[in-house]
Amino acid sequence: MNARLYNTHLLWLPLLLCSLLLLSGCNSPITVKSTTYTPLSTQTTMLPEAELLDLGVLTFDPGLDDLDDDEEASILPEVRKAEAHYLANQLTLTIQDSAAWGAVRLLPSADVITDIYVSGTIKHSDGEMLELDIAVADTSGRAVYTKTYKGLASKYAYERRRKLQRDPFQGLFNQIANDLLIWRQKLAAKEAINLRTVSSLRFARQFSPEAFSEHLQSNRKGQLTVARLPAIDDPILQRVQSMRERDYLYIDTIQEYYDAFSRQMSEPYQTWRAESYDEVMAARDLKRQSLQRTTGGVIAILAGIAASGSNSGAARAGGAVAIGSGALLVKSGLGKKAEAQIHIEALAELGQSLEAEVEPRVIELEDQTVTLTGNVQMQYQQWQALLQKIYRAERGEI
Amino acid sequence: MTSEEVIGALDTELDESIAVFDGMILDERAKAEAIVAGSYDPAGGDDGDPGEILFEEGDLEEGLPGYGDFPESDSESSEASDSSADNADAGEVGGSTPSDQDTIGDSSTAGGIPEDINDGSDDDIVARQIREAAQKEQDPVLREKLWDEYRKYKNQQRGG
Repeated sequence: MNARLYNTHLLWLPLLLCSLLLLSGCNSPITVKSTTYTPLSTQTTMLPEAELLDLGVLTFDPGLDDLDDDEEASILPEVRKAEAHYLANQLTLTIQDSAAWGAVRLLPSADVITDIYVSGTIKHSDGEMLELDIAVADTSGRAVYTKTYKGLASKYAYERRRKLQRDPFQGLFNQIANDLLIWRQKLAAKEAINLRTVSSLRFARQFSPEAFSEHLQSNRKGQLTVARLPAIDDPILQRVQSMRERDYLYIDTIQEYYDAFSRQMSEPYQTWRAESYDEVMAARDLKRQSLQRTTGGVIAILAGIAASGSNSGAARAGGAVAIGSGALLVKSGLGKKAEAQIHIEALAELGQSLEAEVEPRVIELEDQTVTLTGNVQMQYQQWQALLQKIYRAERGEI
Repeated sequence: MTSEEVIGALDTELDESIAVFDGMILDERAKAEAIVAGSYDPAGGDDGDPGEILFEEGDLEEGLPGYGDFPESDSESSEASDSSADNADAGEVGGSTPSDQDTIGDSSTAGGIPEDINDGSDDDIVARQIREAAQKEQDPVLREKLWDEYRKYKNQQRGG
């Protein structure tokens, strides 16, 4: 008899204690997050012009292929596409400020020849958290490194009086730029000069393969190495250099498109981020409360049921109270879940509002970029054909 | 025709094509600036001449700073090309002011046609491109260069 009573107590007492603990924890904050700001490191000594590497940030992959069900419901593709341009441009501007590079430009594709390529995929982006996969490669085709960066915005980042000072995720962009700077500072001068030579020869080969195809060779890993150098006064090379100046102008023009787009997008996007931050935080808090209350309620009901079989009248009375409280908790938990759903729907509405605003601008940007690139490519084909004729004429073939 | 003459003719064709390219880039830069200023109507781009409206509305004094420093189109100008590349950032190129430039080339205004240029009814596609680039050009120095390229090209056509 005593043993059975003891066993029954063993069952309901811990359950009751658990439910009480959960009840007491319903409104206590449990999330601790760090929003440490990383300052931007800069190159303190001036690099010789011959060692200055140009760097291209490719427009980010919006990361729409690997979304889970929740993300698919809340992420609007056009907003992500806009972010792919906007965030990449923020990174471009940040890297530029580190003063360790030649021209730093946002590139529409890796077809553009430059010394260092930085590509990125958006893994997560809302007002609270930004997660980017970043890959760095050089002009020879060598993969330098890949790294995932995750940043949390401080709620202070969205205060009205501070919001225009810097991007809420500026610390994350600084981290990426700082890692690039560390890598660059470890790169030997000879290697930097070699990368510039590879880029120059790639460009020359693109415009006059007859004259420059043998100056570069691929190793077993598919990486380009310099086989031989052209004469400094090579007349075809001089013409190609004139074309490269134009290629820089083309890239600068594309950069102006991106800058214009970013300026247009900045205000509605930052507003969306701030509102999104509030909704994300509210939805998460309510989901947590919902889970705690529902779980606590279920445990309390189970404990109450167990206690109702007790021989002790006090225990049976306590069990009845626990069942009642548990039911109320479950109901409350479901209510919180419904409240959280309202915030999730509000998030979707905010996204739709931003989407309506940025979609025409994304289309316009992509249209401009594609049109200019198409026109430029047509001119380049014309130049390639002329260079081919000049090359042949110089060799007495025509 | 000697090989030097062939190369010379091809170089001329290349320079003209480069001049057209420079004109196109100037158009696009003005377009980007107009977008920022809010004066660009993207719907105007669908009728096949997206730059036209911009140059009617463009203001030389506040736009296109320093475009006079674009690389020379002839092949002897590698020095000029280098300086242009070094200062390739928009808005930081060059040092000549609009008022300086106005005194350099005043035989035509933006969109205007010099007196010695005909109506262009016999233009082929290359001549038409150069002509359009010159008509749209705001910078008097570059505009004169484009008209010179146009004259050279037309003379060459007649001579050929």
